[in-house]
Amino acid sequence: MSVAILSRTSVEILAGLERLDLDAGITYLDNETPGRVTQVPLYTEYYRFLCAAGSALSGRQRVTWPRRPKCHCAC
Amino acid sequence: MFAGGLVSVSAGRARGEHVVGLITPRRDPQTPVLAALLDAAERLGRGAD
Repeated sequence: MSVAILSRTSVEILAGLERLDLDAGITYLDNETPGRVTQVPLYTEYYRFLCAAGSALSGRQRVTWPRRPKCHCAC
Repeated sequence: MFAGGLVSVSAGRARGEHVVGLITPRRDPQTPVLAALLDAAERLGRGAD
């Protein structure tokens, strides 16, 4: 038996399972079709906001989307 | 760039954003290897969150 670990999008994982190209996948379960796959939850993903210590939002317990500063990265 | 260090602040929804898990084709019976993988995933998932 050999094992290959591949990186695929959630759409590609579902398609691969349906074509029987893949045996299993680890992906988001939010939008999966329960009838065609067996699902086992592993963990819940939480978002974290990283900022410089001492910055305007660093002392908060939680930040929400409207209060996040705009991204200044080059995208 | 961050001489004073970084701070991680909770963001988004308190109950989490997405559930991540193992998915396999629904088969009956399941292959032995996938049955073992599903069993391991169930044990791992019970210990998380």
